[in-house]
Amino acid sequence: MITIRRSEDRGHADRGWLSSHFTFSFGPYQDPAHNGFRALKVLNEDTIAPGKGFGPHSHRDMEILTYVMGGQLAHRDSMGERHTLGANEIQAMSAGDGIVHSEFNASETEPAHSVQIWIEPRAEDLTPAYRQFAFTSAEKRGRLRLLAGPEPGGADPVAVINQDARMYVTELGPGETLTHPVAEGRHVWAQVLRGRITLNGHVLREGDGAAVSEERELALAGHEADGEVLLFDLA
Amino acid sequence: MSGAMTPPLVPVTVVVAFYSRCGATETLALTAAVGAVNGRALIRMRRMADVNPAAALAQVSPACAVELRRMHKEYVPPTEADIAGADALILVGSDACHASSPAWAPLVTMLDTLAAKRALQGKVGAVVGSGQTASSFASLLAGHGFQMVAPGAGGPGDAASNLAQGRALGRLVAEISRARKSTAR
Repeated sequence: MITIRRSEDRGHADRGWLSSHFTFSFGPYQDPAHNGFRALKVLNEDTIAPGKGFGPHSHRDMEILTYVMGGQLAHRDSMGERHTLGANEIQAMSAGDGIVHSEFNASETEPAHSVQIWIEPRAEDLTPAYRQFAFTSAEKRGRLRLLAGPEPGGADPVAVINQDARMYVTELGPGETLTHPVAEGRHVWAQVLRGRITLNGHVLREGDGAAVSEERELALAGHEADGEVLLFDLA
Repeated sequence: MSGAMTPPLVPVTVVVAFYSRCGATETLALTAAVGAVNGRALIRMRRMADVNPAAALAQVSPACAVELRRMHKEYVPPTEADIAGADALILVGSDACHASSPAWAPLVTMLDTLAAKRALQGKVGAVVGSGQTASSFASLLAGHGFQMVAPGAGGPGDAASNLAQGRALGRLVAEISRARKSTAR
């Protein structure tokens, strides 16, 4: 069963310096029909104006993943982590029993375009942690690159998160295809970041999402250059 | 299954107000804020504004100027609404300042105004700092009717112990604020 969440049906808020599209209920956008999917609770697509950002604020008991689609974000937190995050990098922050952080557009001239994902952790009061790594475009081209999961990766680094959930990214060009087996009892959320793809025969455009349950295999096909998709394999 | 449900925690909000030029006091404030988050409080971090931002930038080292410019961008000063809406206020100051330092004057005015409106009743106060700084801030808050939470034993220590104390105090403030609010309901 595949249920599509169209881009235009998402919540939207424009605060001048920040334009956000909410796939699930978040902040000013609340829809009881869209309060997350399995452990995936938040999926926000944000465009932050140059030099602007979120001042120091707290998080607790949440696994927070940030994926930059354009520009750069400057991150600073109460664990002493100070980093700049750009394209082809993943940032995973386990808020655990409490962190305070800020995130700003690192550029004074260009907007920053990113996706922030919140995944419910397996337990409360865990120890906060921060992970960030870069990967190459080739690593996600035509295949699913695992970016975050409950176990560390082998040769390729994986950001360890405190949940039985895996986040992959792929970039598919015209005619490129791939398949992903879905274990029994598992569920998948697919989110198209750029371009257009087909998921088990359903056409998904930029900003569209799809909830997948009771399917044993996903077949993804690219339609346009650099169609980019995040895929979450969830318990 | 017993079916027993844990009642939702009474929400509490803690404002952490600080003044920092180079980031060291900001780190202490962040630690107190994390302690409050550990205690399941919502937090508002507020930096006291420089009386003259350009002059402040000119007075500090190049390395501090980088931090100061960042803080100018990242923080806003506390407002009356922040303090009126909070259950607790934690003040964090460096050894170089005290409650009558110019940067803190707007907060003193705010507290005077809110106290006159009886808007500070029942609020919890705490101070992260040492020596004259701590005593001047503690007098300020106590004088405006805050129920003061004392820090743990020990005066000025090394950086790690100061951070640990700040965090423990933040947590204690959150827990005492919640207990007081729960009792008042």
